[in-house]
This record gives sequence, structure tokens and C-alpha cells, in this order.
Amino acid sequence: MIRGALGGRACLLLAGALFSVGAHAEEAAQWLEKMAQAIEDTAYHGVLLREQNGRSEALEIFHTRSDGVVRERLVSQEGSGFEIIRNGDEVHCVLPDKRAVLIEAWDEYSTLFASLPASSDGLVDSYELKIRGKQRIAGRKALLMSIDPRDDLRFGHRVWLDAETGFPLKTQLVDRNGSILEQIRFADITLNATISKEDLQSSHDLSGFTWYPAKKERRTRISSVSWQNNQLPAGFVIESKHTASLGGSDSKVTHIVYSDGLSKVSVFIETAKSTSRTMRSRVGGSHSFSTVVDGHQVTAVGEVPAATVEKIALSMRLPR
Amino acid sequence: MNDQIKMQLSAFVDGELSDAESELLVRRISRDAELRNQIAEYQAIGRVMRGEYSVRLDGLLERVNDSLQSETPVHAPVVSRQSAMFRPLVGVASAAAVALVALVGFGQLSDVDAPVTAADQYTVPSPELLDYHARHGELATGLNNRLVTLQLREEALEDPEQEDPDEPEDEPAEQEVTN
Repeated sequence: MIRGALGGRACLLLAGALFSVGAHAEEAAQWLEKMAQAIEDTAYHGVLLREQNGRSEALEIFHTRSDGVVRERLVSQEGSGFEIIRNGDEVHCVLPDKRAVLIEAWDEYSTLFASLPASSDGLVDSYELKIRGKQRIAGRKALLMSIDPRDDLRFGHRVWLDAETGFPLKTQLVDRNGSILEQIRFADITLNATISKEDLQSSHDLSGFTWYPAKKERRTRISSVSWQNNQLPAGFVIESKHTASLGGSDSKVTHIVYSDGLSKVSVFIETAKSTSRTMRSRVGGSHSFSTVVDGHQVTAVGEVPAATVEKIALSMRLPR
Repeated sequence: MNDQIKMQLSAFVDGELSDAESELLVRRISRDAELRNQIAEYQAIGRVMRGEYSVRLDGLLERVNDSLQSETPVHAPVVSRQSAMFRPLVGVASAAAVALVALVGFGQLSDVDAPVTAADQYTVPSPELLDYHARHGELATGLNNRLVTLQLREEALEDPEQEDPDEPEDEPAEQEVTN
């Protein structure tokens, strides 16, 4: 009788524990969706600290979206005080000390958070989602969500979501040891801010500035690619493939983007030159590895560990 | 944070608090984790604005830090040894706020404010590889990737040797000025 009662209690406890694990994953997935919605809908004004390569930089940001068009202005608080002014896809980068404006075309839905997932679909095989605790960020109550890789071949994310709206107040790209590779953190933020027309205009008088148009690169989407990779890390599939040729140059580069639902790896393939060699490097959380395969320079770049880009580049094959 | 503490902080920042009162303030902050978090927030904003406010708060936080280190038993860092992911990085941190946060911790989340991996752990990419990084950044996006691309374009402006067919022909005299 006593044993039976204890057994029953143990079963209840076990069921409770299992339920809570499932509930946690589901809760995290719901927060992820809430976050994506908040990124899309929220107008905000704040000061953020961006940290990468051991350097930290403060930027002031004004952001609003109306009629589906993102309008924002980012102002560096340090150095030359460059400004990035975005009006939908058109981006003007104002460099006051060079009296220059660089024109860019950006098509991602969010300047700050494009590398965060919009939903948990396709993620759960390679990553584990969890709500880990509460903390204050920029004076607001936040929930810490972790997106941890299930193997050593990719990096994890930690996102601190505003407890009220789900807006990401702080994000980190972390390796398996918990070392922070990149970080964006709001020091101060006003959510649902009223952004005026003036907030979105350059604070510099741009008359006399030289305007530089975006680099002309012809990019052609291709339906098939002869290069193959039969040893991709689990979860990675081709997201897009195209060829690109730089203006003025005849040489074409084949560019394949692999994604596991969160991390992306680009593979660039072009005919090897006499100077082609094996190279590797790292910029923030991005690693690259370049080598010669079958008479071609094959370069893999992505926000994944060095071993992953190396593995992907070395296993690219051109079937005969 | 109550008004009294706010006034004391403000007086400290303005250099108007006596030594004895400053000592009391340091002890009060040492006892109150929530207060320390709030001051660290203010300090981060202050650092952004590059005001004296931040310099003086740095000083205050250093004193709190020293005080915490000297009276370890009560305010020992809450350090989790559960997994490598939560390994504390005490000692690596240099800025006062980072040191403070690493020391007092947020329970098992004590390393979340650890410094971002230091610059000396990076190899400088060759120009070819940097170009691939930039191109990757154009498709697989995020602020950091975009800024790498912009930085490359900005650096190209500084180099008069480099002929860019897309550049306008008549460059203004200001382009000659090096920075």
C-alpha cells in the first residue's frame, strides 16, 4: 500500500517533469513568434551597444515601420559619427569625415535582428529552445531565451526578450563554451516610441557630399548547380544558389547558401588562379575557410565554428 | 531605487558627498544586488554618452567591487558550476561594470555579461577572404555582417590607387583629405 502510494507519486512527479519539459519548449516557441511579431511591429528609439572582435560601439537608433516600409536611422556615437539611414530597401550610409554617402540596397526585414529566427519551424532538430530566467535589461523586465545547438557544428544564441512585448533587448551569439562572439544590447530604449520625420533625417548638411552608388553585381538565380556536398552537417540544406559576376569582370562566382534554419553558410566557387591557396579567418562570429578543390577555389563563410566551414569547403565535389 | 539613494548617488556623482557618506553609500550598494544592477545600467548609458557621470560611477562601482571582495562571506559571488556554458569569467573582465556584474552575478547566469571575445583572438582576414565575408553578409544578414560590408566600402574610399569603375568621375577636393 505504502509502496503503491509512493509509486503513484513518483509517476506523477515524472509525468509533471515530462510535461514541464514539453511545455518549456512550447513556451519558448511561442515567445519566438511573439518576438518576430514585435520586431516587425514595434517603433522604437534607443541606444544600443554592439560588441564584436573585442570592441564595443554605441549606436543610437530610431526605427519605425509604416505601410510595410521600414524607416530607420542609426547614428554611431563614436569615432566619425557615421549614420545609416534606411528607407525600405534603400540605405544611405553617411560618412561625415569623408564627406561621402554610400548607397546600399538591403532587403532583410530587420537591420538589427535579421539573424534571429522568425519561428521555431525547422530549428528544433538542430537546436534546443529554452526560457532560462528573468533579468533586467535597459531598465525593463526581460526573459532570457537560449537557442542551444545540439552538436559542436554550430553556434547558439541567447536572446533577452522584453517580458511585456517580446521585443529583443539583448542578443548574443555564443559558442559551445559559452564565450560570447557577438552581442547587441540596448542600454536604453523606448518601445512604441513616436518617431518624427526629423528623427529619420541626417543630422549633417549633405550638400557637397559625394554619393557612391551600390556596387553593381549581377546576380542570377540558378535552378541547378553541378557542385555537390554529400557530407553536409545534419540539418543543413540548400537555401539558395546563384551565380554572380562583378561589374567589369568576366569571371563568374557560383554562390550556394546552406542553412539549418538558423545558421547560414555561404560557399563560393570560382576557377582557381595561380595564386590560389588555403586561407582561414574570422570576423566576429563569422568564420571562413578557403581551399582548392578540383581546380577551383572553394570558400565557405558562415556564422558557425571554424571546423564547420572547413568541413563544408573540403567536402564540396564536382561530379565527373 | 528610492529617492534618498538617488539623491545620494547624484551627490556622489557631483562630488558633493562627504567621505563618510560615500563610505555608507558604498556599503549600502554592496548589500543590494538590485541596486547594483540598476547602477550598472545607468553606468552603461553614461558610458554611451561619454559624460563625467560615467567616469564617477566607474569609480563608485570600483569601490563597491573592492568592498565586495574584502567581505566575501556574505556577498560571495553566486557561481554555478553546473556546466561549461555557465562558466564564470571572473578575472577576465576589465571594465568596472563588467567586473561588478561578473562578481556579484545573476545566479546561474553569472557569465552572461562576460566580455565579448577579445580582439587578439582574431586573425586579420586577407583582402580576398574579407570580400567573401562581405558577400556572405549581403545574403546571410545581420547588423554585424552589414557593417563589415560598409567598412570595406569605406576603406576603399581611402585608397586613391584603387580604381572603382562605379565611382563618380569628378571627386570633390575633400576626398583628398586623409583622416
